[in-house]
Amino acid sequence: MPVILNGLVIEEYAHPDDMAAISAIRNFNGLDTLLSKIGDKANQMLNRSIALGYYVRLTDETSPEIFRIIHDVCKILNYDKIPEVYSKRSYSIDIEVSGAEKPTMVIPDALINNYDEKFLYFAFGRAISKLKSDYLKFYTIARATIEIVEFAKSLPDAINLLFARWMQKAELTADRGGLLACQDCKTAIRFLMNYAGMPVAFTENVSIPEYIAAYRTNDKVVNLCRNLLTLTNCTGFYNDRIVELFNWYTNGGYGDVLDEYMF
Amino acid sequence: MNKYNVNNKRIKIEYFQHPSDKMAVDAVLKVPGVEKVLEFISENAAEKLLAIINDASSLKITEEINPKIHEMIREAAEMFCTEVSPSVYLDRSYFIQLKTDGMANPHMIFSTALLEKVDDETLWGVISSGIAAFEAKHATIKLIDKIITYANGVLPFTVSEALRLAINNWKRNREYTCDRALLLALGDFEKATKYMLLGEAPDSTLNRIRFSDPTNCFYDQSKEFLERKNENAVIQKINILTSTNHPYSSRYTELYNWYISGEYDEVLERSVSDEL
Repeated sequence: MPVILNGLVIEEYAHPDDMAAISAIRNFNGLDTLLSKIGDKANQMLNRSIALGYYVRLTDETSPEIFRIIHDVCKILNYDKIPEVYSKRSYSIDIEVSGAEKPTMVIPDALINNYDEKFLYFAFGRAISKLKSDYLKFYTIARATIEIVEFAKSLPDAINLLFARWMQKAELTADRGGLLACQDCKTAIRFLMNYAGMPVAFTENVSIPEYIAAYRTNDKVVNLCRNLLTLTNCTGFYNDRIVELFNWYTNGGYGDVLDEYMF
Repeated sequence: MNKYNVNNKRIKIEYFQHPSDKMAVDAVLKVPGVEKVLEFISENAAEKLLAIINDASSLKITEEINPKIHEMIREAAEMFCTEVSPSVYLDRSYFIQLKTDGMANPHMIFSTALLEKVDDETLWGVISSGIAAFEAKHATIKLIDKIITYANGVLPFTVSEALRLAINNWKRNREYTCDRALLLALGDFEKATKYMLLGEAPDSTLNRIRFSDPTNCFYDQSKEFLERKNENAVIQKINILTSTNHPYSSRYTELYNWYISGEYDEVLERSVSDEL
């Protein structure tokens, strides 16, 4: 098991862009208060209802292998609740989280069935990191306004852009949380390469610096297009996330957090 | 000597068809002439197109390619007292499912995930459930569903939406009939429930749950879902109304209640006494 990071607080590893984006939402007049009031209520009514009805709730008794990892990751990242965990049939590899009051995770079966334990530490680390942050306070409503609810079309574009930008930057913090949970940079990056579409077996021998070098470009038009497309992309480009995470690792950000909290 | 229907059961659809499913089908068929019209449309238009699509995009499984599936179909048809003999197709999909459709040209489409994940015994149950769907005349309402879809824009919005909600309601309730058929074919509540949830949770997790025991964790989860109150219940109902599938919690509870009510045993007894 990776080392426990005693007393770790999210501010120590949150991506600065995530902090900036969330503070922009908070500074939007009244939005923070409104979302705090209805965000978790909406989650209770919708997400929990779907989870209870359509998914299978996992428990310590029925899924000890999964709960052992979840307990470990909660300890490593200093998260003091154990979320309710559901599973569902899905080819996705992304764990859904919701519920600030009653945190919930929904795990796709493809993730459980196809990934080694070390990858699960990263994936659960990402999920627990989101649960630790302010993420859930805004997430249900943010997702609803951007993707689901018709009334979102009538909201000012500025709000939707704020949400999209924040959700994208929150992924960077979650990636760092995943790395702190699995404590193996190669595993973390390989998992992100999976998001980008590379089969897990193919990632074994990929050189990360070469992969990043191949993605980087000095072409101004390509970079401009990437930046424009990023504006409304809620998850961020996977390759950008790989670059960000690798930079945090190689620049010493990861090592600093580990040094400070591992004892 | 039957290989799969080892007890040589003979079960008529009226023994076990769920009342809300039967009501919807009966309501359509009691309109004078409607069955003839639907049969005409089915034979001359809708299913011709479907057959072309299936032949072009899915792999047709003939008796030579997979005699086991065809043998199961024959025995299931005999068990549910029908002469239906559907064409069989295979479709690449991650979802564990068997689709059945067709009045004039009945056909079954197996997903690759289904064939990869289930053993022969469960496959027999799934095929039987599909055969029961034909006998329950589910294809009739599926055809109406297609007609409404094609007529979208022709019918006034309120009419088409009302019809859509009614069709969704029936689509959900037909699952109850199919679940019962699965249980009757397998004769094993644990196996039937595990198939219902197959893939939704790891096999190791499902194998640790004893579904026939009312203290099991999925029973608790279902109870919690069905007992939600106030605004949670309202949102839940709206959510279900727009869905074409019942939540697993509802299907499990419905099947469990039917199983322990004694109706399941009665159907099995009738299936034997009728044979005698």
